[in-house]
Parts: sequence; C-alpha cells; structure tokens
Amino acid sequence: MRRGNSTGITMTSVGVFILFYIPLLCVAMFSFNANKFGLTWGGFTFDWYAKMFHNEVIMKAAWNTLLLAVVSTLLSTVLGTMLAIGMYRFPWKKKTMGKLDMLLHLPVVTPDIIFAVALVIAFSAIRHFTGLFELGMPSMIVGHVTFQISFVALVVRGRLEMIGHDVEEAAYDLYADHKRVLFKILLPLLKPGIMAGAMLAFTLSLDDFVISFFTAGPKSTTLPLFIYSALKRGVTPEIHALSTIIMILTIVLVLAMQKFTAKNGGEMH
Amino acid sequence: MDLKVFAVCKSYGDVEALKYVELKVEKGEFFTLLGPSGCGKTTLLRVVAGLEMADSGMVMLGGEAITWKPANERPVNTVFQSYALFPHLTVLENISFGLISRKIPKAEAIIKAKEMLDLVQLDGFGDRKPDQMSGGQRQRVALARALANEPELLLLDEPMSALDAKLRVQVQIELRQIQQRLEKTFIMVTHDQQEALTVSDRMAVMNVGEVAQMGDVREVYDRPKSKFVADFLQTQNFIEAERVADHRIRTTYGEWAVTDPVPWEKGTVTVRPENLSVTSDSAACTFKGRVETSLYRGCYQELFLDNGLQVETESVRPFAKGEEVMVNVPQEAVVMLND
Repeated sequence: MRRGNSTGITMTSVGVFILFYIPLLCVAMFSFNANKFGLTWGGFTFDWYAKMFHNEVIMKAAWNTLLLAVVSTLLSTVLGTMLAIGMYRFPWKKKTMGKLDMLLHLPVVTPDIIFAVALVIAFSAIRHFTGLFELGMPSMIVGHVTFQISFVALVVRGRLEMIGHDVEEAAYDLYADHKRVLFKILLPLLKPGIMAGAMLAFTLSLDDFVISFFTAGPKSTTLPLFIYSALKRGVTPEIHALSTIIMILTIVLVLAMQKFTAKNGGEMH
Repeated sequence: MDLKVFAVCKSYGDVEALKYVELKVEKGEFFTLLGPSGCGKTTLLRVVAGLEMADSGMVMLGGEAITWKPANERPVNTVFQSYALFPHLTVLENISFGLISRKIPKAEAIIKAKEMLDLVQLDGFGDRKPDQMSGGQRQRVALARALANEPELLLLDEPMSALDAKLRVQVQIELRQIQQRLEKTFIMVTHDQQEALTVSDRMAVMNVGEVAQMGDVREVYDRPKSKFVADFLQTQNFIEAERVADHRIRTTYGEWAVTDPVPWEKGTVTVRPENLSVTSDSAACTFKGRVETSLYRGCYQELFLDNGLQVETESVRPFAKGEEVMVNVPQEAVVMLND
C-alpha cells in the first residue's frame, strides 16, 4: 500500500517536472534546428547562435539589458541593505514596525502592471514640472530599482534577524564605534544575505518585461522587449537561440545564489 | 573600580524593569545579582554596561558618573549569555577586537590576545573559528575577549547557563581563581543560587525590579530577611510564630528558644532542613513528628514529616513510613522574617 502510494507520488512529481521543462526544452531544441520554418527537424546547427551574435539589434538589446540589470542591482542592493538595517535596528514602536513591514511587502505583491502604470504617471508628473525623466534608460533604472529594493530589503532583513543584536552589542561593548561595527561586524555577517538579495534583484531585472515596457524609451530596448516585438513578425530560430542563452544564464545565477546561501547560511549556528 | 548605582529606574512600556535600584560594589569584589527570570537583574547589568540607558538615576564607576556614556566609552566589558562571539573572525581576532578598537597597534594586540588565550588555557586555538569549538571553549573565548581589555569592571550575564552541570562547576572554580588572581571587580548575573554562593563575595537578591536583600553571601544565605529571599534560597520550612519573650516564640510545634531577638508580635520564621536534626535524646527534642516520605540522597536523606516540615538527616539508617522521630531545632538556626 505504502509502496504503491510512493510510486504514485514519484510519478506525479516526474510528470510535473516534465510539464515544467518540456516547453523550455523545445525552445532549446529548436534553437539547434537547421530548418527555419515549421516543426520538422532539418539537422543540427549552431547557425542561429552565430547569426544572433552578429545581429546588431540583439547585441544592443543585450547590452541594454545588462547595463540596466547591473546598475539597478547595484543601486537597489545599497538602498535595500540600508533600508533593512534602518528598519530592523531603529527602535520603532511595534505599531509603526507593523506598518513599515506592510509598506515593504506591498511592492512585492502589487501586480507589475499596476506598478508600471503608476511609474509612468509618476514620471510624467515629474517631467511636467521639471523636464527631467524623459523615458529611456534612466527611467527604466529608477523603475527597476523601485521594485528591487523590497526584495533586497526582505532578504537582508531575514539575515539580520538571524544574526540578532548580540554580536553588535558585543562589538560596542568592545569599544568599537559605529563605523567599525558596520564594516567589521555587520556587513561581513550580512554578506551572504546581501549577495543573495543582489542576485535575486539581478535576475528580476534581467527578465522583467512589464515595467521595462512601460518605462522604456525608443533607444533603450532590452532583450525581453526585443523578443516581444520580434514575435509580432513571427518566431525565428534566432529568438530560440537567444531565449536558450538567457535561460542558461538564469539557471547559472540561481545555482550560484543557492550555493552561496547554502555555504554561508549555516555559519551562524 | 567601585561601582555605585543610585535610584536607577528603567521601564519598557508599562513594564517597570527596575524600580529605584541602589547598589554598591566594592573594588576587587566578586558580586552577584541573583534572582528569578524577569526580576530585572539582566536589565541592571545592561544599564551598567551601557547597552541600555537608565530612565532616571545615576551610575557611578570609580567616582565618575557614567550614566549617559555609551557602551563603547565605558571601561567595562561584558561576557554575554550567548557569548556573542563574532562568527566570521578567528578566536585571536575575536580576542584582539577590543584592543584594536582602542587603536592599540596590531602586533601588541596579538601578543596580548595570545596571553589571554594562555590565561583561559586555550593556547593553540587562536586560528580556529568559533563554530569549530565546543560550548565550554567558546565560553572561555568570550571571557578572554572581555578580559583582554583589562576592564575596570567585568560583567558576566549568566555566563554558565549553556554549560552542562559538570563543566559548570569546573568553570565556577576557574572563574573565581581568575578573579582573585587579577583582583578585578566582577559582577555576575545568575538565577542559580549554588553558583552565586560558590563564586561571589557578596550578592544582591532581586525581585521584580527591586533589590530584596544585599550582603555577604553567608549572611544572605543564613539570615534571609524576607519570605521572598528565604524562599528563593530554599529554606523550605516556613512557620507562623508568636512572640512570647525577647528570645522565645510560640509555634504550632511548641515553644522554641531562639538566638535572634523577636522583632514582632506575630510573624513568620524559617529554618533550613539541613539545620534540623533527628535526635534520640529526648532532652534535645524540640518537637516530634511522623515520617511521611523519606528520600535517599546519598550522603544525606530528606524526611517529609506529617506536620509539614522538612528535615535533612544523615543516612545512617532508613526511616519507615509512619515512624515517629524527635527533631532538634538549634536556637541559632531559627531566622525571623520581616514580612
């Protein structure tokens, strides 16, 4: 009975995983298909990859994506870490803390599309009064940072709670000033959390479509935006190749993040 | 340096953790704050350390008011209950942390840190990380880290609560020896009366934010002043009594002669089970009772009598249930309680 049951569970989970990954595997397979149109296999080829790397539009979009992800991740990591430390370390009243907590979680659960529309409205209002924030790379960076901050802050705060107040108090007790406590104790101990938060922010930025779509200017097309517009003209194997590469990159990032948190997570206890 | 605490109050919201606490700790003395959890002993220690600020009152160290000084400007170091070692630094880096904070050259700090490792018998462990050490070793590192700074005052917050019973006794002895060798002022917080008695010169028993009694450990142990202190120090037998004469009381167990003057007309006295003894001499018999339960404890045995009193006696022979025993109460063992 038990045996049959566990076989059932195994079959189901295998089934679920197949459902998950078949579409992705299909894309990867078609990226190597020499046959440009249709679903028939025309032989194995790296041509699409070569073509993709020679396509200036794609390369420009890739550069934009990377620039956007790197800059927004750097900014949101610094801001998110500061936010987490401020929220967790300042002696807020319980009620205030609850409200701050809600404010921090709100951007995580708000639908992207609402967030994006809100950003567009905010940008146009600012633009109306100051003439700044013409839609383009800077507005995209600001847009990405606004939703990344929450994720970074949540991850860092989890780590902060794990560290507890004790070690900081011990450092103050041992004559350290604020600067020494921050740089010698707090930041080194927070590093795994900060790194995990940064990688999360990076992957979020990398595959964000909605917010980019609303805040992009004519010259700041990113890969997701490019793929979307290219799809209107029909799916080409070049896009399969591109998707496959993005997929592999994401997997590598996720693995790196897992390895990092696993390696440093257990250290505290 | 000597520490004086005047009328210190501290509240958390509606909870009064410290109520006008007064404390005086002499230079070079091992002082213990003893009390049940929630009595404010740790809060008081943190106020002295500078990790909490008193709402009102004054803290003076060696004649200087330090009430409002932050923790990193006080010549005071703490051994935390959780040890609070820095997990990303080696043992040597942990111990030299305070010295380097005070801008002492690194080479000098390392030499001093190694000396400290020697003092706590951990030489050779300098390059380890805290998580590669046992609980007892970590506790020593925490002690060495605090002592490396040669603090005027060392604070210990339940330093042995995470150790097993056997190790605890060993560490108590070592701690006492280190304190006597260094001749520094130590203040320890604990809820364990044995620990307090073993290591300290003087102690203060605390109850809900107030010092219930302060004094030499023997004095507090032998002459508790209130029901709370007596109960916390496990005197066990509480007896209602009336004054007959200056050194004579009447209880439900008969009239007893007592050494201490009787301060009230009606009140409570307490007497420790180990001060009572079973006697076969009817002249020495203060009262009689029947054995309800006897517990064998190795070198002594505990008798629970039908009249509600507890006696500890030698293990020379077992007592049967229902056996009548004659109990002697020495005059000097009867303690008058003030409440």
